[in-house]
Amino acid sequence: MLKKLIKYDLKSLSRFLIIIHVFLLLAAAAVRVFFTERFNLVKIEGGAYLALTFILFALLASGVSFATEILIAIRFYKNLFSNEGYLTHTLPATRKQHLAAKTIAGTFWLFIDQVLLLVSLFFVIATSDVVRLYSENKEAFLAELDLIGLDLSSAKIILFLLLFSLINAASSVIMIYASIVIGQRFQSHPILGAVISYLGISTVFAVISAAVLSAFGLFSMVFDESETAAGTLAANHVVSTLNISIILSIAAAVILYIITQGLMKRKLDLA
Amino acid sequence: MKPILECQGLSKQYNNTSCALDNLNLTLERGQIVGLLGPNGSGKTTLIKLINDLLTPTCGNVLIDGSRPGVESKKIVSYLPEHTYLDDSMKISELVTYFADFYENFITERAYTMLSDLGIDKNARLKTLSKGTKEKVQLILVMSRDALLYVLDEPIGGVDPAARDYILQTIINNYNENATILLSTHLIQDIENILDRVIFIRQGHLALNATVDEIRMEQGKSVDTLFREVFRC
Amino acid sequence: MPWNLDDSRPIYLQLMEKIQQDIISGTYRPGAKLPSVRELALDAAVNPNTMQKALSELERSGLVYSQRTSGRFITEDESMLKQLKTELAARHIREFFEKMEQLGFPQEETLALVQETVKEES
Repeated sequence: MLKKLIKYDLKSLSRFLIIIHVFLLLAAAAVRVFFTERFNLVKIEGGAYLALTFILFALLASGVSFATEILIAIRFYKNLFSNEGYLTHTLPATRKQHLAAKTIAGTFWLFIDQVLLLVSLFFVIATSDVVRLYSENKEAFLAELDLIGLDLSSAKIILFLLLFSLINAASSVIMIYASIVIGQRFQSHPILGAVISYLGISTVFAVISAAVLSAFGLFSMVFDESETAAGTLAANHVVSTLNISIILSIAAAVILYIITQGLMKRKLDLA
Repeated sequence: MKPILECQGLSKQYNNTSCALDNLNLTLERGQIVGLLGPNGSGKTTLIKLINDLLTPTCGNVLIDGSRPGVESKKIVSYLPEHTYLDDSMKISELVTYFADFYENFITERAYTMLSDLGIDKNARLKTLSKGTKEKVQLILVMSRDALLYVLDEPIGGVDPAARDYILQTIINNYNENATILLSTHLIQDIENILDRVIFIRQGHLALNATVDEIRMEQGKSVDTLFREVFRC
Repeated sequence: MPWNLDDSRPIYLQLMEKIQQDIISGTYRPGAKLPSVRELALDAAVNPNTMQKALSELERSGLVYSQRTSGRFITEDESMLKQLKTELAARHIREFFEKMEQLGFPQEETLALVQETVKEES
């Protein structure tokens, strides 16, 4: 049953998401062919145009990402709580299965979205000039970023980015679903309720993150350079911040998932 | 054999307003077509939603084939809501596959026969169809299941008289001896002849539960006439 | 075409009458097979259970008999068919006289009127 539910959720999501992501990749290809590849990085005069192109592309990319989240939210709301809910909730499946199927399908697409975003960014930025410059000046570049103390093989970076995207995708999807389900409690304004819940949950999450990070002394970007070798400290700082964020995301996702499941199971009351 | 539907002291109250259903006790046996009749707001749709697990009772129980609404009951109950509930962007043929995928008792062949009888193009997307045609598609999907309990909320409300005849025929045609059909409607006269039994609901209470021929024999009048008398404003 | 049924009397009785009518008028010949319950119910646009009840009642009266597997048949007993015919005729005549009485004609006058009408038409 779960497989079938996931199949139809993916099918429904893919209808628009494939189109907008193909568009994203085409846009990335166009930007690279028509802009980034044409500038000679060694001569600096192209810099302003390049920066503008990057900003525009970043806007487009975040638009695609936002649209992906919105479409996932719409599918969840429409399929479970609009008229379509009358069919969804009378299929021979439990509410747990519905939530699980939608979480898996939504996470899958948001993960794909983030991976494609990274791929397209890389594609736009990493022109042959840039790649050449980087490999010629790798040491200096890493030193500039204070990252020299880390063992940064490309495979490790990619693996970490994938893992981070996956966790981020899952926790975002769960947060969206939780907001919609809590929004259902606002009898006459479920969508407004969902938006308010989303803002509420985000705020609470941000406050807790800040509190936890500062408890570990990691919140402030100011750190004592004199303490140890500067490079190692900066690298450690970044890594621990990311680690704690990941743990916090996972914790928030688990708690929100349990709350959502409880709310869905306890009371449905479709109007 | 357990009754197909049993309501025990079933009550439903929405947000501190008065009860939509108040201590309803009702048992339906297998193999009948039952009309659920009552004026607007009498609790018909509330009862139907409770049977389909779309609402949670405030108190009391609703039992389908002896157990509470859940996965097992959804396998044997085929439900037609009062408004459209299908994904508009899907094609008819995709909807047929969808139903066949999720309901083991769905008979694809039966659905296609009925669709072609009514001249509905299986390659059309639902959103391109008229309201009446959408309702027909929904009813076809619901009646193409070999269910034990069909729950039809206003199945003939929005369609023209010719289609109404076809729908009643469809109901008679697909009905089998073990199945029970519970249907709510305002159009009593149109369906009176296909009913075994009628249930009148008034303000969340059971007002009458009798067979059509009992009513005619004892009262010498049609259900429609009796309804107008009982619910005179 | 749904059968013409009136509102106030039990449906199964009206179904029985309609089938009797069809037997006498020759729509169904003696010994012929009746359509299935479902077909009849569809034709009449009535509940199959009600049609089933009408047919069972007809079976009880002997006008229709069923063979376990092959369905229901009209009786071939000519005397029974004749008797049914007479009964129906008697009922129509009674109803006719009742109506004439309501119009204010006593039986003798009604008879005279009937004879007159017959003469005019022949």
